[in-house]
Amino acid sequence: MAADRSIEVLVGTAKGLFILRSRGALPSLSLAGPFLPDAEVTHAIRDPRDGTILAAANSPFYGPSVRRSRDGGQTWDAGGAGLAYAADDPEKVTRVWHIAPGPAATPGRIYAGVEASGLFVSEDGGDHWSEVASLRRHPTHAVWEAGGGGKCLHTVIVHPADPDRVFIACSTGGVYVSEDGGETWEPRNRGLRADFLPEPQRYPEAGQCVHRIALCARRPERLYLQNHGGVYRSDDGGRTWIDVSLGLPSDFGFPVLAHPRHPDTAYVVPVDAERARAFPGGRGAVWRTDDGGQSWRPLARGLPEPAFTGVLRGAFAHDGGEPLGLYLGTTSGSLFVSPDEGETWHEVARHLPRILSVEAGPA
Amino acid sequence: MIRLVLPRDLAALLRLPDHELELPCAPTLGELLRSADEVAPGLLRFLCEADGALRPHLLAFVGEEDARKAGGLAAPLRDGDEVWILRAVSGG
Repeated sequence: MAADRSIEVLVGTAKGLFILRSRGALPSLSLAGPFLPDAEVTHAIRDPRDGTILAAANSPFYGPSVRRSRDGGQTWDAGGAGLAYAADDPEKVTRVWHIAPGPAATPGRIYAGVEASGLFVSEDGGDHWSEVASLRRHPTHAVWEAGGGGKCLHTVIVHPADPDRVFIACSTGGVYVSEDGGETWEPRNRGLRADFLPEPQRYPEAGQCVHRIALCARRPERLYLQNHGGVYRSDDGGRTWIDVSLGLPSDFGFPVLAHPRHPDTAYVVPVDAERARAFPGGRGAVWRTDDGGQSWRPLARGLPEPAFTGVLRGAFAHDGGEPLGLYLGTTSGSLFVSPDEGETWHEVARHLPRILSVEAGPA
Repeated sequence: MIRLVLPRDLAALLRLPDHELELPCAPTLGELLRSADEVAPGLLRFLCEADGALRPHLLAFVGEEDARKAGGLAAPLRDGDEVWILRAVSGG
């Protein structure tokens, strides 16, 4: 059992945000919320630089916004201005998908990935937003389409040591990387297979349906990727990808986590590729590799069976602790916690709305 | 003057003390909302899309008339009118 540590878990759902805080050793957590109950909260994260909680709140009536709380979720402001494409743009911003505070070297900088796929940045902590327009100007933007979840830019990762290096993933579109602070972008999808295209076209430069990417903080050139079909590893910052799906019960899934200290360790949550998008065979399990994807083993102790539910791309997180705490939210509204790097799981909340995102870190 | 009645949850989101605003008369609904945004900063972006149109799941009434039948945001206003912004019958 893990030692006592103060942990906060932010759970974004289809009907608001829930916050769990530890009361001693994991998995003991107390639940508060819902906050922002009228909004679909696709992502919420605490900015480690100033403690502000940032929430991607998407209202069916009032549209998308990045709301902020500076008192742990008790009160929220209306968010900043500018999260919209130009009035004459053929695309509209209909949803905020992912929020990524920049590193300490860039105080005030926050990125937001949106639907229809695009990237916004704020340099003043979210008071004002502007589009990183170079991304949608990339010539391959013409082949981006909507996947089952919408045409969404769902993942933004800022390189931990180089704030000018930004990774994004969108569906469909794929992985794009900027190494000059968003001035220019390069698609990095070499080696990814697009099962949904005709045989001769299955390795396109762009138009890939990447579900999630994760970067190892200790060795940032090492990334893992859950594709629409296939789990992949890159050892060169995403320039090339190697299929490491062998041994998994399904190569389809949404989330992927990279262990922050052990580059060869990663976690995925396979689900059936058919429309059920639930645990294969109804057996709840996270799968872990400790050799860079050469082999995988299931971690199922405490996860439900039978369970006809799944886990969305943002609903799996770690807390960065030692040992690593893992947090898994299901589409049926249960939150599971593992205090021991995935060996055992405990259901700490149930009957929440559909869980869209989970973030965890020190309280 | 015109009385603008907002959905209570939107007034709470904007931290307004009241969901009803008394505003000087404006010639059109759109101009009324723009002047309301000065009293309640942020109001306009929650009510309208980037192209200026009212968001699809909101309705505006000028008195008893659905503004969609009176020119939308171009609907004319007269001093003493009452304007209601309502959440549409939608959701899930």
